[in-house]
Amino acid sequence: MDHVITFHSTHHAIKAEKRLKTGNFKIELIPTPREISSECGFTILIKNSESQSLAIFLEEDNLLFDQIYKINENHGEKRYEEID
Amino acid sequence: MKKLIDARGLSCPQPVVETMRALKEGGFEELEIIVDNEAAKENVSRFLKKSEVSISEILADGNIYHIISKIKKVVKSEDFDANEYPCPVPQKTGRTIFIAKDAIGSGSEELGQKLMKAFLFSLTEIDNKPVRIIFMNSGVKLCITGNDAVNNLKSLQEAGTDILVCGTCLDYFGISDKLEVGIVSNMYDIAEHLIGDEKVLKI
Repeated sequence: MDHVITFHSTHHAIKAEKRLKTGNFKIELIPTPREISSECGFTILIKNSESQSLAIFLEEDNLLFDQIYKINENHGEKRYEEID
Repeated sequence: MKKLIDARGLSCPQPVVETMRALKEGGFEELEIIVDNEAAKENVSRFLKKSEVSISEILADGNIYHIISKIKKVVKSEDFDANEYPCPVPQKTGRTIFIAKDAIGSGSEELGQKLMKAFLFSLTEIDNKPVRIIFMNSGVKLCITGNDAVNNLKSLQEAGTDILVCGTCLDYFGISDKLEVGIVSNMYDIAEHLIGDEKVLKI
């Protein structure tokens, strides 16, 4: 399952990217998908991930984030589903 | 006596080779060579002229050309140099992106590098992909082992984008052996693309 994490600021995104890399997650800093927001911003894409372990890691490291989304792919179309 | 050479489907320089063989064998007064692309037509015509064979006519039917010659005298045997009959690679049309730095813009190097990686990622998502990306100076660092951009560049390459990486720059940074995507290019090829390509964008 792939996820993306959105942030309130690019600085938070950049900081989270550095930290998540040390946590053995397969991550990539990408532009925020248009389906989520039309504002310019960085989002972290994590492939093959569990939203639970992501949330735990982020909270343990006091990394501020906005929302975690699960990516549902249907016939090549991606849909982003908010995760609590 | 008429000789027919059907060189359709043969790739350069085969049509010229077949023509040369036929001329060496002789035994005919009329020669017709059929080719299916303009480069072959040009190359065969040029070879015939060099061999002092006059071309009576060239019939064109779409992309198919019939080159017809009458052989009036003993033809002089030409030495065949394949380099004189180059086969031009069909030109791709579309945008070439010239990336001369591993970051976009100035003001913050860190932000610039993130932006560049995000930009290359977004290229993999849009339909209208660039035909070619050329990397120079610190831009070549995006193509070496360990760089986050490599996977996206590989996707682009697989989808048909040519990736050219400046060899001098790789050498300068001491990373020639770490190239993971693209082919090593030189200033002449790069200059030709920058001047000659249809649309060039510098990032």
